[in-house]
Amino acid sequence: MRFLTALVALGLIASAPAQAAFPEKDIEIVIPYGPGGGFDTLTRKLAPYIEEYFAKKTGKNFNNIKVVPKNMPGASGKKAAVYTSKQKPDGHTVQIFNIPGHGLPYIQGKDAGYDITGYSWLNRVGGDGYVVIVANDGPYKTFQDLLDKSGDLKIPEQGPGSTSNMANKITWATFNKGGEYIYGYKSSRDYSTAVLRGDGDVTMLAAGSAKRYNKAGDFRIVAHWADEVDPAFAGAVNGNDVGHPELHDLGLLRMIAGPAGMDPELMKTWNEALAYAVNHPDIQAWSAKTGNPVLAYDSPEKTKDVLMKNLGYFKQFSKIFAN
Amino acid sequence: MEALDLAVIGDAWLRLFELDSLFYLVAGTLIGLIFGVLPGLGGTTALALMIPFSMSMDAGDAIILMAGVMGVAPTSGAVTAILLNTPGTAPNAATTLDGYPLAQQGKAGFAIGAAAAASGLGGIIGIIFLIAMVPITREIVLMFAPTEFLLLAVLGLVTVSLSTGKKFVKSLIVGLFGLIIASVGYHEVTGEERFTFGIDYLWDGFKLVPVMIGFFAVSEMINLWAKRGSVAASGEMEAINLRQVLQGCLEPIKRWKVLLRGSAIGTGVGALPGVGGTVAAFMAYTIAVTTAKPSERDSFGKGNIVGVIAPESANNAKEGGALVPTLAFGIPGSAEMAVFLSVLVLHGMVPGPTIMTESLDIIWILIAAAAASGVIASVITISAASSIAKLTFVDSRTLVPIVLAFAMIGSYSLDNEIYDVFTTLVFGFVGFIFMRFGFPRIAFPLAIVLGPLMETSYFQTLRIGDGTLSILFDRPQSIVIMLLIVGCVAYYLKGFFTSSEDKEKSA
Amino acid sequence: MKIRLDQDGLLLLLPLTAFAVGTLYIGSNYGPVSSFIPFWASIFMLITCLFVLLGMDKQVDDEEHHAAKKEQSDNHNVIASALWITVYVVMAYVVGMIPAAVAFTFFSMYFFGGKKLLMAAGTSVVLGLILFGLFEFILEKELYKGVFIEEYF
Repeated sequence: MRFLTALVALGLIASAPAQAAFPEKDIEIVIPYGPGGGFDTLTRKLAPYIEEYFAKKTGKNFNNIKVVPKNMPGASGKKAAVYTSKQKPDGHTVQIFNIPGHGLPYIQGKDAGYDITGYSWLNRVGGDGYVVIVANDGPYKTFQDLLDKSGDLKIPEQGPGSTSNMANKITWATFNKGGEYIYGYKSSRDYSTAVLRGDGDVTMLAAGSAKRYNKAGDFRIVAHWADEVDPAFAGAVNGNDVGHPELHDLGLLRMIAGPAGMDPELMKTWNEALAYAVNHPDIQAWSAKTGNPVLAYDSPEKTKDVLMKNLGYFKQFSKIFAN
Repeated sequence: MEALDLAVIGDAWLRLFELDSLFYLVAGTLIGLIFGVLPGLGGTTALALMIPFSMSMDAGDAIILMAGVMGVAPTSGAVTAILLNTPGTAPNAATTLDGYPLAQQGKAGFAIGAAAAASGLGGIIGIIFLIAMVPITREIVLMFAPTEFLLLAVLGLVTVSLSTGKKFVKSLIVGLFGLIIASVGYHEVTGEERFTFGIDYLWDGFKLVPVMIGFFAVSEMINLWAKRGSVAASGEMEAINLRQVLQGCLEPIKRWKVLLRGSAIGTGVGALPGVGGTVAAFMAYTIAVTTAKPSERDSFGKGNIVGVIAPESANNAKEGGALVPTLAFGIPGSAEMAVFLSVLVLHGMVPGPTIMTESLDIIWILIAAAAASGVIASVITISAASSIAKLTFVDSRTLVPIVLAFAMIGSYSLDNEIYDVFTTLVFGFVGFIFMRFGFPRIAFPLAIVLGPLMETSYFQTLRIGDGTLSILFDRPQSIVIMLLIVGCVAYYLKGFFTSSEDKEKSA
Repeated sequence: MKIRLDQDGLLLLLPLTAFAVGTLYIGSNYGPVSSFIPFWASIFMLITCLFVLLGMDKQVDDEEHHAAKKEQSDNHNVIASALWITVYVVMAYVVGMIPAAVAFTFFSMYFFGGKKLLMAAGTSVVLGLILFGLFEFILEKELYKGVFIEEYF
């Protein structure tokens, strides 16, 4: 009898939410790309502050529990997504996601080995709106000039799966303007430099990147798809000016999620940890200095809402992405 | 010129001699050296591992540490290239051509001395060229479009095949084999899967590092085990001493034209993103062969020291060149630069045209550290050379298992993927078979590196040129490169025909 | 140009030619952009293989060729070598990389190399310790622990 009681007691203890003891070991943040890119940089910058939050909250020694960024490049981000989906939802493994990039299979209705809507969405950490750029000393001075070009626009881009490519396709489709895509450039730096060089006419960049790359004034930003055009982009039009305010929904989101089935309390803790890191003065200062926008929400529910809204917006255009 | 502010430059060098800076410099150099020697690791891995450490350091110290690591890996990579016919990093592949035969003749110390000196001097010359290019970095990056990359890739593949002399056709076969292997995987542009046969592992194609380790290191170990004995088939262990090493060190100075030419090629080619060190090293090698006297050409591939000096000076000079697009545009000139870029950003610097004005002091610290680390690395390598070179006399039954252990573990630790180890084994067999039938393996790494570049550039060129390749003839840069290709081939064939005529006459 | 079948090279050239034909066939079924490299690379490979097969690249001196062949080891040594190295990889897969490295080094030195027991054992253990220290401790990279541990734990 005593033995049975002990067994039951043991069972109760074992099934108690792991939350109480979280984190019990090192935390892994998976980065779906190789070292050196925007996602990698942001994750590595935030990691120590996330660690700081958990240390404060649990009273554990800083040096005991570490937040370890782990690069897992492959298959354009798919490899990491599949890996993360298979981990235990105990909060010790999370991943930074590229939205809508990682959502492309969902948007196209294809199976990629992971369900983007199924993850435990914790918080957003960054992301940006898009701008349309041309070379400053080139033939196009305004957005209308581009629309007026006879024939298709030549658009240097990274590849068909990237978010900026989706932004390009949606933008030009909205105005019934044909685009000939020159794929194969290695990064947003590379393809925007291509516009400077004259390989192509125009392309699109995340607003923060545009500010960073344009410090020498090589580019002209002719459009910024946002409710308020950033003062740095004087002279640019926005969706309202061209009669298509829905273009303001075009955006890249950097979000963090864990495997499906995470405990809601645990998700709330993670949400707070990420918000703490993002809103930390050091991070805010770094963000302002390097032009890497950061932003966090105050609940996992809001995060999921924003995610679904973003995916829903892109899903309308699924036909354009089928190539 | 603002960028060349002497006060800032002077401060940078003074900073280097502070105690903690020296510590980071030497630490970075040592780490880079060790990683460069172990097959499968290399500069990029070392840099990636340093990122977490660097984050808690101040910007200047972090840069010094990184510069230490970056500048050095090609130097130590030459050591394994010479001793074991196994390039420590891809750009060292060209060094195996003449370095290994020298080791087999018992002259490993001589070869290492020459390689270390050429590396150190080449690195410094590369930095000098970099400084000269600083005011025009932007123009350089804008001058080279996919059109030029396409032609450069072709130039690279052609020159590497030509460098094997009489085995040109067999070399070409290996190169073509490499192109096909490089095409395995998901095609980024079309989204089509090529040659994957439904295997997940092949989705991203074969990874360069496990393939290279297999193709060179493992195949060499298979050969060594079968042959018995040791790497050095002739010569005496006692002959490998500091004197032999120092004799080697003097060679690059004696042959300063080769050194200068190799460094110039390294810097120039290194400045072109994606093309990088491997191409620079091979081009330097081939041009050294092409410009040698016809009577000397035959000795290449059999232990001609020029065949070590040329590629080694190029692959260290390339670091200077690779900084050009990295700093000017944030477009990394090589994989190491991509990681280095992220360190810059993590410390709040923004690579781009304004980095010269915003972070000039940091840039000069970087340049000073890179130059210094190259020198330190050479000195360390030279001091240790005679001891390391004696490895060529270690019996195969001891050497093979040790090298294999590092090779396989190095391959595994890239992505913690056991399938990478299987890949290494398979390519070990493939590389060995090529070796056995006298097919020069040297075109293989170049094909794997250049194949994707060639393919992507080809289609970009077509698109830019509205569906035709006519744009190749519209740009002076392209015409120059095309003339280079034709020139290399013509010069080589001319020497080839002349020597065979001579043979017939003397027969 | 004389056409003479290169008998020595048949063992390699036939599979290479088959490889070229195979990739040509599979490659040409891909879309126009994707098939570019596989198609042209395999065509050129086919041409060059046939070229060498038919002895048309007779540029390598016969003398040099025979000298090089003499230096090579016997076929059965090669096969034994390849097999032994495969054993290492299989061992690494089953028991893990470091135990395999230690065992492999020991067997190589003691049984095949005729080294003294102490020397062989000592070298193997030191190697194992260095590998463990370097990779697991300093680099903090977890090494493969063998298929049973990796798959079932």
